[in-house]
Amino acid sequence: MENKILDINKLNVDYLTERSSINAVRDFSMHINENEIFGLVGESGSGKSTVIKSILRILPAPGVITKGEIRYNNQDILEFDESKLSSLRWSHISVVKQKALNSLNPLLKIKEQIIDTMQAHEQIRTKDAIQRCNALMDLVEIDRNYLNSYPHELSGGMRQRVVIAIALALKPKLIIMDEPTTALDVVIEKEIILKILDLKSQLGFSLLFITHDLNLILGFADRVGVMLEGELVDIDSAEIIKSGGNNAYTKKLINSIPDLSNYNQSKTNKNEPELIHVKNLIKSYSRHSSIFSSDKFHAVDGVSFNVNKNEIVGLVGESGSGKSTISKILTKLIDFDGGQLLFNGEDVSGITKSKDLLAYRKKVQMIFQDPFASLNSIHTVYHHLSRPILIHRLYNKHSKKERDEMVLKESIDILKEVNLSPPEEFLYKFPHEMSGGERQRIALARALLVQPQIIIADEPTSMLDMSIRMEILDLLKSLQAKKGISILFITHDIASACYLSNRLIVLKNGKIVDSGVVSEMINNPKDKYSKLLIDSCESGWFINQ
Amino acid sequence: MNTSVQYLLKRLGIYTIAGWAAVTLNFFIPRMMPGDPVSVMFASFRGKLKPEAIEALKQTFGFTDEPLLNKYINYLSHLLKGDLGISTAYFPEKVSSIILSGLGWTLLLVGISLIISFVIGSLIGMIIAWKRDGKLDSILPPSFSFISSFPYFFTAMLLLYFLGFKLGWFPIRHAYNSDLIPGFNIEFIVSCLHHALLPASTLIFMGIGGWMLQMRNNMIGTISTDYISFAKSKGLSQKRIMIWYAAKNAILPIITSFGMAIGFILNGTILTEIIFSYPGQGYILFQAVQAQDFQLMQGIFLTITLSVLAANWLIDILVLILDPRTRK
Repeated sequence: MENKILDINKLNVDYLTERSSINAVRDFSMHINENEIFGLVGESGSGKSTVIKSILRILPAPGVITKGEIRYNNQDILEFDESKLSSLRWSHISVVKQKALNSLNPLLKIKEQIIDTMQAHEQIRTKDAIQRCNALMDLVEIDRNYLNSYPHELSGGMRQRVVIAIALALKPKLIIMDEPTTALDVVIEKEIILKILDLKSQLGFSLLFITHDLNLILGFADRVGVMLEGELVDIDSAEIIKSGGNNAYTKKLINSIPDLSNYNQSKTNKNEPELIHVKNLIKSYSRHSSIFSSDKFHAVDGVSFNVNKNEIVGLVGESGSGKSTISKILTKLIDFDGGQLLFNGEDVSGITKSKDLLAYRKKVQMIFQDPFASLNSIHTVYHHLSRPILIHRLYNKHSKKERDEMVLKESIDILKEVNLSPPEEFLYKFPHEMSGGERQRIALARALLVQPQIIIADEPTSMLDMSIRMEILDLLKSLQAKKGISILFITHDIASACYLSNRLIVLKNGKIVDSGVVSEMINNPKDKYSKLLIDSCESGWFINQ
Repeated sequence: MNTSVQYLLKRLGIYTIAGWAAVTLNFFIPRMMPGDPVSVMFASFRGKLKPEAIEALKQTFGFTDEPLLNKYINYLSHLLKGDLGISTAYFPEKVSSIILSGLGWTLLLVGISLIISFVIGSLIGMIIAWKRDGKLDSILPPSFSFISSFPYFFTAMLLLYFLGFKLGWFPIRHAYNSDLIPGFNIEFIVSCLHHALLPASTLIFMGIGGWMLQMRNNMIGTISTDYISFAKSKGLSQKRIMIWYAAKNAILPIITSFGMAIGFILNGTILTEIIFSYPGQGYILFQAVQAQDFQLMQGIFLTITLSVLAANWLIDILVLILDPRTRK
């Protein structure tokens, strides 16, 4: 039998509040063998982080471990005193945190942040410590000269490697990685995961990899556990989980993995007229401006594309590619520096009067990324829905009483359309009383109310959990077909873009690198970068290469 | 050239322009004010002076009928030579030498007390934020807010009355014992320190609260950052995290307000120096205003402006040293 490095037995964690206690984790049991990669998957709020904090014994108040045991090398961690714990932390179990990009102190050199970790746990002379730093840098393949740099001088991927180097500094037996690649783009994510696997085969440690991205973890984990609302609902080898697992929820998660074979095959009608046409759009920001100099960089650099009537166009790109800037330009939230913006064949580049802007925005509505931030938390759903009707003066000819009735009726109708039922109940809810998915439906309803010709949806699903994502995409798709409007779907996730859109545009560093009908793009991407994006939808894609 | 040096030179250029603007305003504003310093000055002679004597005096003080522009150019060229004119109140002493002596005392008093209150305030702020909601954290911030809400002169006079006048622990006026001859000897230095102790401690006492609260707030923001929780899970000692991870980051914004504080304090010490009859800038300015000594007033305004600019440049350098992100 293999050696268990970590063995968790019926762990229960409660968060105590004044009146009651919340069961954050219930009867959680799992183990990790030596040299094994264990993937723990769950949506936000499923209790993954609570489990890690319990393992490290850094659970903040009011969290309390009420029952169970956590054994590391056959010793119960829960019975350790503070001194034993501090010798356990990092020398035996180390962590790479979720926001590893911000895990480094901006004011200390990389070298100092590695050395202080060593010195906190062992007596070591600075000369020896530097030698070990050099070895660590070689291990994560960063030039040794960067030891004397500050974090801001390193790229995101390099900082992530430094954090991994720090995690390896004391040669721990178990490394916990909590969503280590979430903030990175696909290319860097691939590099980092390959590096981690490479280091594991060199050094031999166990890995507890926590993620919400089932697709990613299935590519390289030995075993996978699935958490739902504080319970481990499924645990098995990666192959079995991949083929559907042992639980309905696992199946649901597996099914919500974006699948490129399920792309939108409907052809757009070529005869539909153009709705939006941008020609050679340029927008630049100045980076460091002073009286004496300014350093400009082009966020959008000569982009031309069009969106036809009754069409969904996916605009795909990573952070920094300029896609949000484009969405802001199209909704006239910011001005642009060069090029033309045509709407229904009319040049709208120059409209600045608030009356004209209002008329334009009635036709061009927007849905934002963060449904938590885009709804003012002090107003009810009814307020949010009635605003666009009143602002765009849809019923101004009617008397106030009639108008109120119309607003109420319209609001209820639109809530039905976005599948929020019973609508009468949702009408008087506040944003904080709804889930992320429900809020995003409200945002969609609000955009639809003024009967726009196009909706600009800027990452409408990226803040939502996997299982809800598909529901929102389906809703967008069905409403688009029903209302015959256009949608510009802006996303970093090429799979959802393929699922929803008729046409794709791939954006990189402010320039369009590839575009075309979805089926063409999937089967025959013209550009290296779009091929990489397409490939990244396969699970384990980077290992098979 | 090194970009940091370039940046500092740029800033120096901006401050030079600001300094020139200040000098120009300093020249024109008093001359545009209604009233005539010359007549005020000569009124005290009650007509006992012969016209020739008046003319001679006017020449000496620079009150000529030349066009304004000529005067301005003259003023600038004198300024560059360090010549600020001659004081009427302390006739025949030069304004520059009066200011130099005043500036020395002010820098001694204000400089030291500002640094001490900054250091103590920031240290306390750091500690109470680190042990947030601890005993000290619940006592110190409200009590210092209470103390700082008293008007400064009230506290100062209270202390002067009880500690200086009633109990006689501290001298009640001047910067050193007037029986002594200024020089670099122990007796004189001790006397200086003894005289500075009461005004300095009032300044420090009143100043600590602000620094403490600023530092506490910044620390609390910094403590919740990811690099602090990463440092904690790395197993570093509390002391190392508190000082090198939290405080080092939290103090950066305060350094900038420290630069601004130097300016405010130079103005603010007028009250201190008047109450404690301390022969610094503020006291001299007070005297100059009472005697309507325009040359001296102008000179003092100028030094205040220039010292604020200089302080800001020093802060620029300090920030550059402390924050690697500002070095490009």
